[in-house]
Parts: sequence; C-alpha cells; structure tokens
Amino acid sequence: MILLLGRRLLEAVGVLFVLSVLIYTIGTLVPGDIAQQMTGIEGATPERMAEFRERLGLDRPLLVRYADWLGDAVRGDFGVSLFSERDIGADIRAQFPVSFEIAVVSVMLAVIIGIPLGVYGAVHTGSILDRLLRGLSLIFFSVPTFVSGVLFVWFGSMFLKPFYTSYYIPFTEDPLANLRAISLPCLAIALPASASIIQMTRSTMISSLQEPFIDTARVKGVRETRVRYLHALRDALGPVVTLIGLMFGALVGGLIIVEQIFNLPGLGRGVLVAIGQRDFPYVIAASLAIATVYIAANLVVDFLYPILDPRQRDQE
Amino acid sequence: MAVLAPASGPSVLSVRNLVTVYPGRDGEVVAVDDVSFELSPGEVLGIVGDSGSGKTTLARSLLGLVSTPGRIIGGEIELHGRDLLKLSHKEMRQVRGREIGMIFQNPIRSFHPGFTIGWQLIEAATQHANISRREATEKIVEALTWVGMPEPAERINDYPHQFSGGMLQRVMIAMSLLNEPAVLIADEPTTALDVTIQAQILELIERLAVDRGMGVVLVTHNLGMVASLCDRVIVMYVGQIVEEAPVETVFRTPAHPYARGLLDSQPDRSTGKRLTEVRGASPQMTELPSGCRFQNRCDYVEEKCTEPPALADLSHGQKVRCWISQRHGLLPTRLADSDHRDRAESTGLSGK
Repeated sequence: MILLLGRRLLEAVGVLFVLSVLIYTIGTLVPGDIAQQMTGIEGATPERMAEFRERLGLDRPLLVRYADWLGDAVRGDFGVSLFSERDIGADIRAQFPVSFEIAVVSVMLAVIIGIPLGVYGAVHTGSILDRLLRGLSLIFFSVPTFVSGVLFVWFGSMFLKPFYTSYYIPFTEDPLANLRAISLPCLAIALPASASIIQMTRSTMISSLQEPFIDTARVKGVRETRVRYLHALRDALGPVVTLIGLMFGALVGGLIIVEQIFNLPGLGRGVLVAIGQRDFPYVIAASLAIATVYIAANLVVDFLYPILDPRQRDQE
Repeated sequence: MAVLAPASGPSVLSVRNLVTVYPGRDGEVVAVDDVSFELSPGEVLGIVGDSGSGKTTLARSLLGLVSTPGRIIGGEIELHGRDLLKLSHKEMRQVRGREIGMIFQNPIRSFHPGFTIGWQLIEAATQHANISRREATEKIVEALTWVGMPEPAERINDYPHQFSGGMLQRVMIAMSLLNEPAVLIADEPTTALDVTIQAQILELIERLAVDRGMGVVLVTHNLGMVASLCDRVIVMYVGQIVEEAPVETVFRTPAHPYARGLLDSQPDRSTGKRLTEVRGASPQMTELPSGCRFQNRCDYVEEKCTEPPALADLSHGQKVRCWISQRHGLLPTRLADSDHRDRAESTGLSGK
C-alpha cells in the first residue's frame, strides 16, 4: 500500500512538471504581444519593442526561457509582474490564503449540509422532505453562481447586514470581520456543492442499504440506527469522499466569479485582472498554483480511499 | 435461552397459516400463501422450490426481514411457544442472532467490506451478551476453530476480501452459532460456492443440527442437497406448500406432479434415466389460475383441478395439495409418460 501511495506521489510530481511545460508554453505563445502591450500603441516603434524584448529576455529561445523560469520557480521565485512590477510570488502568497479559506469553508459547509440530508433522503426515500430536497437540490444545482452570487449580495446588503461586508479582512486580524466577509460567498458556493453531495450521498446510501451485508447486520440483532449510520454509511462514504476531494480541487481555481462579485482579494480575481493586462508571468504562476491544489486534492483522495475501502489496499 | 412458555410438543418452531404479501402494480402479490410447518430441535427441514416459489420470502419472514413494502399480514410464528409476530421491534431484535440465526446465499457480499472479520464477529458476539472484548475474542476464535478455519487468531484481523467464498461461508456459520440459537435458517447457503466446497459447508450445517441440536431450515432449489441433508422436505410452488413429507418418501413416491417433475429433472446417475423437464413456466403471481396453480403444466390435469385443492394428509406424514393423488392415495403411474408422449407426438396422435 505504501508502495502504491509512493508511486502516486511521484506521479503527481510528474503531472505537475508536464503541466508547468504546458502552461508556460501556452502562456508564452498566446496572441497579444507583451512588448506591444507594454510600450503602448503610440510609442511602439520597432526599436523600442526590440529593446523591451531584450530587457524581458523574450529574444531568447523558448526552451532556454523555460529552463530559466523553472530554475527560479522551484525556489519560489516567479519573477515580477509585467504590469505592477511587484513580486509575483509574494502576491500569490497573499492571495492564495483568501481563496483557500473560502474553498475550505465552502466545502465544509457543503459537507455539513449535504451528507446528513443525503442520508436522510436515502433512509426516508419518497417522504415529503426527501422529495422537497430533491427538487431544491435540482434548483440549487442549476442556478449559476453569477446569478445566485448577485442575489446573495443584494439580499445580504439589504436584509442580512450582520453577515455582509464588501471588503475582506484576514482571519488572523479580525476573525469576526473575516467571517462576515466570507459567510455569504461561501454560502453561494456551498449551496450548489451541497446539492451534488446530497444527490451522491443519497444514491450511494440507497444502494448500500440494499447490500446483503445489511441483512447480515440485522440478522445479528444489531440496532437499526447502527445498521444505517455505521454499516451502511461507512460503505456509502467512499464515492462521496472522492466527490468532495475533486470538488475542493476544482474550487480553488473556480472562485473567479464569486471573488469578483463579493470583492474578495483572492487568486481567482488576481488571475482575472492579470489576464486582462496580458500579465503572463503572473497568469502562469497563478495557474500553476491552482493546478497544484487540484493535484494535491486528488492525492489526498488517493490516500483516503484505502483507509475507507480496505479492498483498495491490496491492489497493486 | 428465554423460554417463556412450555413448548407445545417437541417443536421448537411452529409456523401456522403464515401469509406474506407484496403490494404490486397489478394488485397484491401473495408471496407466502397460508404456509404452516413445524420444526423439531436437531431436525433439518428442506424447503424446495423454483425461484419465485416464495421460499426465500418465507425464510426472511421468519426473522421479520421482509423487505418493504412487503409485509406479513397473517399467521403465527411460534418460537418456544412465543408468537414472534406479536413482538415489538426491540424484542424481535433480541430474537435475531440469539434465538434464530441466519446464513445467506452469497457469503462474499454478506460481509461488510470495510470491517475486519474479527470486528464483525465480535459485533455479533457482544450484541446479546454483556461480555468483554477479550472474552468475545476468545469466543469467536473458538467458533472459527469449530468451523475449521486454520489459524483463526491471526485471521480475525483480515478483511473479507482476503478470504475465499467457502471460507467466508464458514465464518458466517461461526457467526451464526456464537449465541447458540435454537434455529438456523440457511437460505441457499451453497449456491454461490464451488461444487467441491459445497459438501464441506453442508457437512458443517449437518453438524450444527446433530451435534448442537439446532433446528435447521434449509432453503434450496437443489434436490441433491435435500436428499443428503434433510429429514423432511417442503416443496413450494408459487407461494404455496404443495407437498410435505419425510425425505425418503418424497424421493421414492412423490405425490405432487410438480414434485415428481422436479425429481425427474434432476440427474440421477444410478438409474441413468433420461432427464425430463417440467414443461411451461410458473404462472405470474398476479395472474393465478383459479384452482390448482400447477394445472397448466400438469400431465394429470382434469376437470376437478379448476377448484383449489387443500393440503391434505396422505399417509406416513406425507401431505399433498393435489386432487388426483388425494383420490388415489398416491400419484398414479404417469399417463403421459415421456416416452409415451414422444411417441404420441411423432405419430401425430397427441390431442391438440
């Protein structure tokens, strides 16, 4: 099992490397000349642009530039922004915790809402609450975040003042103000996420409850609550944990809209601004940070799976 | 063991007029229709029938395990003189595992994949007895030794997927005897196993009855298993008992045409007789013919068969639900013997 996990870890590093090549190449090759962008339309004489390219090292071959960049990147140095000339690494390190916090809180919220309701739906299939939940989760799942987000901003600013601020304060500075700033955006993300957790939990739990080992537990004389919430739920959790892991991985990079709507200084908004400015060193670095979280989330799922399902442990 | 009332007669389990139904789209399906039988300690009672005969529903009904929306709507299940159908959920839970044990068809899927064998056995051992973990462990190791598992003390830390199906069925049997129940219900216990393993499991079940005095209800479609293991047989057809008799009697002189058909469709090396099938298929539960339910497949069918026959005594403890054998005292020599029928068909004499 340790061998398997070790291999997964190596694979993850490999994937990250391949990704860095892809992202760097794409980031460099996209149309929109950085030199032209930076010198401005009027001042873009061929001489000035050539001078600029030389200063940025853009005249060197791609491979050399990549190797150079990679050498700095593994040491955490992603260069300076073409636009603000600020240190990209420092900017990302400031923005990343904001997105990470929102993603963690949102997923936790989604899990807290989703798993119990999904279990309820499975145990009381066809009950009024079950049908209501299925309808509601369909709605929450279908409404796009840019609609629900705006509704949350409007609703929060009108009726839920204690839960709404339009500026972000880090948790370490003022926990309460921090929670005020992130509670509504997190809810906006957690509702559709919990909808898919409800669906997944409900369906895996229903099939777990029909497994023959559930009969075995009942035949032993085990209490029905224990049959449901230990035997069946334990079996149903595997796919749900996978879903949660993937959800989390996708979230950190998927916050662009929510961060924009709620004015949060996270990675998503940073990327959005950088794309608008053709600030490619920043876009490359941020994309890589997002990809790293995604791969890490997958890795955590890979590590958790054998714990939840012993059958996975003996597989090569 | 909680014996609340003195048992009436030697029976440990008496089932009387049990009716279990499933509501269906086309009306209610009576899966177990007015079934009665007795089980003595140490006796192995075979319940034989096709799939859809209600034998598994009957087995599950005994433990109150009919899956919703099915339910038991009538009858009595008396264990040690106490009607299980009148018990509360909590009382029924006390019966399960402690007074009636059950083993299932598919041992691999009948264990939780996420817990060790030891964990699952200890759960069973501590369910009805207030014993420490160490005592429970001793108990389960002893039970595993009894069913013939090598190195039980080490293997209790393994997960179900690390065992073979046959070994898991042994573990299942060990689990069912932890609380020494008076009755064991075995629902097709060898169907999912390799043929060479089947005999070992059957031998274990026989030892449960002979050495430990358990009454065993063995549900199966395998007549060979019935012949080698059972004392008495109940043959079920579409929810009803059609024949009940000591095992030798059924094999020598089956009284119900369906029972005879079942026997003739089993290979028998000693006679080398040609196999015959029971023609046709069981009627749908929702479209039962009035009268005998076997009439459309029966070679002996006559006018009287449109009236429902009752399960009546013939002799020597043989009961049958058939007008013809009730009138003759046994099933007459086959009128439409297979050879006879073949000849009739080939000469175009078969009455259309």
